[in-house]
Amino acid sequence: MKFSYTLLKQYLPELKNKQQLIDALNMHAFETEDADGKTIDVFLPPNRYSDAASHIGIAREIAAILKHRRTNIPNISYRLTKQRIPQAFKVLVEDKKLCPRYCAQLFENVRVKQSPVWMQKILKENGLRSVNNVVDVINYVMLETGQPLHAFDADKLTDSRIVVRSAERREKITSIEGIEYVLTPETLIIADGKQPIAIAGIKGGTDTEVTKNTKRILVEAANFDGVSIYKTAKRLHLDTDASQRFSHNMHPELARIGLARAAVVLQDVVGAHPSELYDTAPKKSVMRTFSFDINWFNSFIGTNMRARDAYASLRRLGFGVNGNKISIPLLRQDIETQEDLAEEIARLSGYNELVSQPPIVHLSPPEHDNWFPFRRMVRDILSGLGFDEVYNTSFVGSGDTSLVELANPISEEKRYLRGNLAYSLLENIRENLKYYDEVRLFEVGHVFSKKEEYRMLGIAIGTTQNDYFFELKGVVTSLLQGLGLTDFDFMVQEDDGAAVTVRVDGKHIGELRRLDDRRSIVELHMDVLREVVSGELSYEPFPKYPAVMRDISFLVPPQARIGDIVQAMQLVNEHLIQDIDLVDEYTGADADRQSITVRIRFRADDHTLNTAEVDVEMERVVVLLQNSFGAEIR
Amino acid sequence: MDIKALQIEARSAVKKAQNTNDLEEVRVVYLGRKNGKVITLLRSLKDMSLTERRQVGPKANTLRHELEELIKRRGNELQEKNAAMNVDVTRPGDKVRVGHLHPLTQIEREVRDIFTSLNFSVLEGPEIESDYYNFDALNIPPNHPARDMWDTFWLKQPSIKKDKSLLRTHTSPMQIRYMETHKPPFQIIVPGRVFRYEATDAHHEVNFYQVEGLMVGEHVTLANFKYIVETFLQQLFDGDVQFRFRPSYFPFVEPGIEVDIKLPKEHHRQGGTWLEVMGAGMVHRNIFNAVRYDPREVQGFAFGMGLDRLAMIKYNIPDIRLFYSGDLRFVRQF
Repeated sequence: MKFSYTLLKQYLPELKNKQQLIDALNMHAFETEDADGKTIDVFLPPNRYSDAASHIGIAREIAAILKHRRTNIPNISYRLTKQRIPQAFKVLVEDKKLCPRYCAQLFENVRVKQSPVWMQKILKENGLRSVNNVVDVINYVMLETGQPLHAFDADKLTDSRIVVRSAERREKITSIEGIEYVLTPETLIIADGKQPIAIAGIKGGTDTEVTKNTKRILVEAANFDGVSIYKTAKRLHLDTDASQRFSHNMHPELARIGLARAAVVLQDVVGAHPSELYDTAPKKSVMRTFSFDINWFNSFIGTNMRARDAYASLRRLGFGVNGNKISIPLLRQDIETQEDLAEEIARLSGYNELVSQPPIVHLSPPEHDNWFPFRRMVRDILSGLGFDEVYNTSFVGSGDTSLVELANPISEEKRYLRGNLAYSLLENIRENLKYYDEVRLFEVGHVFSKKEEYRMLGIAIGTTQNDYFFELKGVVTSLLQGLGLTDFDFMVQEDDGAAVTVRVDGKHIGELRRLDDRRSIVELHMDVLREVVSGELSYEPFPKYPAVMRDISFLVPPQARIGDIVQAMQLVNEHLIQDIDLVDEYTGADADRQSITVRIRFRADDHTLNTAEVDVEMERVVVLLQNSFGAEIR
Repeated sequence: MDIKALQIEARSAVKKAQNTNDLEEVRVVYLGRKNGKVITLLRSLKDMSLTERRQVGPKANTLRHELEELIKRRGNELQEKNAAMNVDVTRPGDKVRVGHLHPLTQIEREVRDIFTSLNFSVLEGPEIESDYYNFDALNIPPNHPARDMWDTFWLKQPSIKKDKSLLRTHTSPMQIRYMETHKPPFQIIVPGRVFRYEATDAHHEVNFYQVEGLMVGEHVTLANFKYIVETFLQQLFDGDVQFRFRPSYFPFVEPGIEVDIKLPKEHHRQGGTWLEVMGAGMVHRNIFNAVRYDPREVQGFAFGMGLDRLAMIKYNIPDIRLFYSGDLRFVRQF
């Protein structure tokens, strides 16, 4: 929110310069930036609009922070009117909840002309355009007090009536800017005897606006329900000074304060004569009182302040102090708890001044969650194997019906939540192959389906000329072994020759796919994988007895799969056959056969194998190859 | 000279030769056509008596053959050795493939390691949240302008669900989730991806990372917060950090605080100016009420910081979009 240095300086003659003001606010109240010229920009917290969305409020803060003794902050006084129905106009509020207070006052002898230059200057510093003396005063008083006001041309009000009510369906209003709004019953409006004359708390209508011919004005200073204004402003896309303020739940007393101040400035600047005034809720607002415990304060903030210093701070901020009873200034609606009072005291001395203290705590074992060490291991293994890690966005542009869709996508390319990591990884490969011949990537991240959110690992290889599918398969093997897993396999997919299912302990954890002769990718379910990783690595004694190697070469039909053959061979004797390696494969001129050579490693745990024992096993391997795979042994 | 002595002398000379030049000298000394000692000996045979000749002749011949063989062998040895020594060691080393961890992974590890050394536990939470955990329970009521502080992505969903789903706008929902199932005292951090509905530029992304911190106990004070945060940031930025603690506002803390740091200009692109790095404060009593803690019995602090921002400051990265570009020219620098 913008504030005028000129006006603040007028209130606070002891102020040295703009920078002093900015520093004081930054370190003790609100984040503040230097805007151009004589303007400052204050980021006002949502709970301080009642008291501080005003030059008076900001000036009070600064005076308290900088301990100014002499100020020219206007002293606004008024008497609560007796509930007497005015003669010249009528006010009717239909919904007291949406409009807790409506104050209106008639002013006569209005002469509309330009406002004085000093006022135009202050409005300009706040980013407001000068219109005429009446409108300018109305805006100026809002800047001073924080209360939005509105002036109607009193002679244009049909039946001299003000009705605060919900709009009727399809009722229309044209704003001062000439924009027509079609209203709905959710919208609270101000109407005269005939039609809407303002969207309550947001915008005035053109029919009753003040013109150069205006002689009498009715000034409105009202209070509206924050939620209602907030919703209406959002619905109509109307973000105005007034809607901003009312959305933040202003204190109803501010309406009366604003009107009192308007009366003074209208007399001074416009020469208008105040006439009848009506207030729908002329009750005296009562200050709230809290008791304050300095010992609690010190144990909360971690300091050692004397009670009287704390009270002095509160007094500077306008709080009443009576013993340990603190009375809260009316407009300080943000003060609801003793912690709120603690904040006032602590910020006024400055958080920078607070001395840091190491906490005294019981040592507690950290939460045991194997997710982090698990993910760390995965990343370390993969980067160790030469894979670079990427992070991709969680959004994708096109997708099928299984994807989670956003209600308010920021763009078409970001309409859905990603259902896999592959899509982005392949995009990464494509982009990076512009700069590199070989790209090895991985990503760990959340992906989404309509049912659940889960964590995936994607690993991909892309090259400009070589096929690295089997490297990727080896990487998956190394990864799983590195995680301490032994019981895993790659299962052929019946209907899909280019992919295998990765299984651990019989559980499906992902799919490894050869996309073409340049790109391969694997995606693994991190959550499932994490469950099967018990993680304990365990020592096995070195084998005591030597292994025996035997090579065997054979011809099989081209459709025979090496994975199937090796798996079947292993089962010939699970105890003695330790390992089977593919040594050579070759599809010759004779394309209806492939030639395969494997090396079988035999070993027994309890004795040295003799030739006869191995021969028996080899014989069984041969029978298996011939019978199950139609192999011809070479 | 007797043959035995000549043999010993020659053998040792061959052995001592350290290069082919030495060896050639040795050859000339013993087998040189003109004055080679062994050759001279052989030549002198003709002047000897028959008995002498029969005695010395074969031995001298054997010595000659032996030396020839020894010199040849030594020559081969020296040649091999030479070959081994003659590699151009100034040639560049082979390019060994090594993978790079993403800078956000690296900084998250640093953050986590510092906090675990301070006895904090580390947790994660879901990226899809309900509006209850993301807002209501955090003292951010519906239809309140405070919600405008977080521009939110909402999910399309069937209307049967009571709570509206959204992409979490901060890691703070984990404060509620954790406290619902745990009793104080505790201290935790929660790193994770968060989302904001906002236009992307060098400093804003629709997804980025935060680290939430929460410490609750009987006597946890604001002064304790300062200690923890100063310790953390000093360790993360190697000691040379200036701090500024300013008032701020977040609905789930009271008082609310903003932490700025200033780093030395020499080491950091963004050095020499105040940088906002963290929002924090004492946990609001409404939060304790929401998780059924008694605010008269417990107090504590919470903080949140942008991991991307810390990484940008620490590694001098000018544009947040680089993190999510998948560009290896970027990742391979870390």
